[in-house]
Amino acid sequence: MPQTHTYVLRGSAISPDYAEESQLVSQVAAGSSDALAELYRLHAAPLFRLARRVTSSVEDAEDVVHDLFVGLPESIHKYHERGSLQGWLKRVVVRLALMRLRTTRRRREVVLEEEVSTPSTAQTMDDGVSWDVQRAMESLPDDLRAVLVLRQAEQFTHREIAGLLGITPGASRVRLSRAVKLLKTALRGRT
Amino acid sequence: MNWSFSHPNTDTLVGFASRTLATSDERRVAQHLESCTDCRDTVVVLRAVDDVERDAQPRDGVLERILTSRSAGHRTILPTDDGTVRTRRRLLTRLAWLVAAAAVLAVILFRGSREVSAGERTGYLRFDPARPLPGSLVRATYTPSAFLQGFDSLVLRARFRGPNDDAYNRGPMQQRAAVLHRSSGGVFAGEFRLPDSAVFAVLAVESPVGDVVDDNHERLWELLTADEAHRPLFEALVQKERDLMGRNWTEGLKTVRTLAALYPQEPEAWSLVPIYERWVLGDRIADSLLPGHRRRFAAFHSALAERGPLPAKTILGMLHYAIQIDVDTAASRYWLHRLERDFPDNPDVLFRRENRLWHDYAEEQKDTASYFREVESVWARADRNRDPELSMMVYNALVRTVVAKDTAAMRVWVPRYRQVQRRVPEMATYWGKSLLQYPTLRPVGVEWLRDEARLLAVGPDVYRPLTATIAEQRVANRAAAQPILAELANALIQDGDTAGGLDTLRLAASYGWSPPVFLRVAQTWAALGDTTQALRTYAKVAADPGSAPRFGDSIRAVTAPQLSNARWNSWLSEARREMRASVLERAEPRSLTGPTRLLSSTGETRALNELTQGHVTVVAFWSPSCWFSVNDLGVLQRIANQFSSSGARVVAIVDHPFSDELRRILKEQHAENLPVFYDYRSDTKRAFVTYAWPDYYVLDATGTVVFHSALMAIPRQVAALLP
Repeated sequence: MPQTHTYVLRGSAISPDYAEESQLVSQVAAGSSDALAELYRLHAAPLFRLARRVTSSVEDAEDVVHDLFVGLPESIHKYHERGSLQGWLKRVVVRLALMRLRTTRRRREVVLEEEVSTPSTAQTMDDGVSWDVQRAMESLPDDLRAVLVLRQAEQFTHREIAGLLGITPGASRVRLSRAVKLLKTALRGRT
Repeated sequence: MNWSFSHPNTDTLVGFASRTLATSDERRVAQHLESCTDCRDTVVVLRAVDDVERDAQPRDGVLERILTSRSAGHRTILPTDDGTVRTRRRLLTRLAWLVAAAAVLAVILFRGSREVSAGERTGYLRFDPARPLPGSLVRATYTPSAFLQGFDSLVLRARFRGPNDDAYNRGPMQQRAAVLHRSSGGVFAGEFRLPDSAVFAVLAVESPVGDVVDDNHERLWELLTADEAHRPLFEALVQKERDLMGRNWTEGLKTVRTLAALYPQEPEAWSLVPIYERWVLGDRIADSLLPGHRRRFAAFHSALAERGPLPAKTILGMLHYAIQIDVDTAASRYWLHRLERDFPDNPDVLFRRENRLWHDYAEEQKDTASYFREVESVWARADRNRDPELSMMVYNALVRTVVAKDTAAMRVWVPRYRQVQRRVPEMATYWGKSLLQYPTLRPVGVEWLRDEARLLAVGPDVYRPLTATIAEQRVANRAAAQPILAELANALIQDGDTAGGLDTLRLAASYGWSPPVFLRVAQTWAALGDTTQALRTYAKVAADPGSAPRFGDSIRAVTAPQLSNARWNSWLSEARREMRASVLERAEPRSLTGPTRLLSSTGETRALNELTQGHVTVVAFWSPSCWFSVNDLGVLQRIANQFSSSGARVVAIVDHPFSDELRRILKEQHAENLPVFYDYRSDTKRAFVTYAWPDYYVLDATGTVVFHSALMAIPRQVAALLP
């Protein structure tokens, strides 16, 4: 595509086109699998990362993303008038991830053992330090880890976190503080 | 802001770690952190939380699973009920978002050009089966990007790799795999048969005339062959790793780790892991992982050493693993001996034998004639395929002919080299030029150069990378042909055909901005007596900021009586405009992703964007362990001095911590004032996707990487980006 190789075009920022996204949403709501695939391509990676951070499991995160997109055509009409699409999708993903955590408590020690012996895709992306942090995060209680991820990595406000978790904003602050403290303790224990 | 005692609360530290605090608050926290190790630890931990899973992606099959579930009638009721109250902040956010969207639309309308939005550049390509067996029929379904929606048919191009293909993707490796036809839903579909010899493929979709390419944001789409249980074949993953080399090293690390995870009993799989760990993760982490590798190697060794016949792959894997993790030399000697004993014609064995012959005869006895005589028996045993080790052996032998200045041996090894090596224009330029120095080999050199020039003029599609349009490849071919034509022109001029040489030089000059070619053109015009043409061309050399300032003055001094200042200056201005346009035409802007943390010589942590923001910047990667990169430091210092008054900067990024040795090197190279930063987390090189030295980039004032540069091109690229 010659026109994209001029300096001006290739150097310019790529912004999501609001009109196009609206059109995509309408097509998804109408049941278009091509539009669903396009929406997946646009949003799946950050949603997967969020789910992965909340659930601490690649498999659970992929299931969350799967469930989200399988249900999206019937539910996406609820998105209207609720801010950015990605923000809305993230909130749904958090709820799905929390539901999954509540209903499928896995035997974490087995999974950790597996991950030590077989390097996971995620492990390969990180150097030793962030791998330590990742392991330490996995050792946090689910409710504390969720607050930490949503506040620090996803920049949700305590009010938003409170709405998602069904707690008060004050409780969210307390949980954040406890999560950070436990994380530091866990990391010190490793060094 | 809430402070408890003298400490900021966790939320404030979260704000600081996320860089979302107001400046005044940020300053207060920063002051506090200077003296509070506990809060500093908290910030470090919080920032590390950001880094966790930063690049994680769902696996390839997830979308397929979603679409299959939908087709099967599965539905999920999503928890969409938003319990949060719509706040004033959210309304403001929404308003701001709409204003931003309107602004983007306004910019598009005002500029009257087609802006590119996310989703327009790339479509979605699926294969059925997703993990085929070699030789299978594969159905491809493509949901087009916006740029490819308007066609009735599209072309699927592929790079198929066989089990013995070498690393990198140079030469004639691409081909048309299938034509995809539009179906009723706007989706394109077609079929192709995977060659029996292919174990891995990468693919891209393009318009019928090759002017629009969807290369999946340069990632391409991949097809891994698999066994009946859908496990990717060992050779498929090895070829994926080789295909990724130079394209995406981080993905290469993931691939070799996947290989080791899927084939944990194969030493060859593990032998690749420490290489990538060192390249991608850096020495510190690679060293910390070595004990694990050594334990694994020891376990392999005790299990395999006493076992009877083993396949060459296993023995080679043990040998390479031993070398990579630097275990005791007895172990590596054992596996080398076993390889030589059991597989005397293995290309790896032949390559090592060639090395030994050179050492024994040429280096020890100063008898190169015996080396060339003995190495004939090595060549006689070689299977004449394109095995990477065999190519290296033949390359070595050809280099030795030049070192020994043995023209008879050159005559023997040139055709062998051309037989086993993939055809690459840069190598033809180098070898053609080398051969021109020997009167008896001039015809061989000229023939090689002519073959390559003809090939580049025709531009066969097999050479075109999957990411390039036909027009882009034409530009690349011309750039590759330019030095070849210049060498041919020099040969013609030296042989007395000045007019033919000039014609060839002018053709070379029309292929892009090149001061050495312009200089030769000007000299030839002058030899032919056309002073005006000579001076106009000399002006191009003088206009290039890489030329010595004295050059233009000396030309002016010689021509002063005949040429007015005004005319010379107008030629210079015209040349500068031409240079700028020509340089910007080659711009390939991209943004950096991921952190770029650096350590200054005083131990201060800096992000690269802090150093580059608002300045045109040359980023140079170097290493004290790479002589070539050390040798360039003085030139970099001169470039830094040359452009300092224009506001342009040079940032030299080194892979070693600061030490007296490093300072000594900088002093020796007259580069003491060069701003040097240590890439202590190796994340800056990951952000640039660079794993070699020296490597140069030129960034514009917004921090966008505009050029992946060569040292001599840096001055004009910087000049082109300055206001």
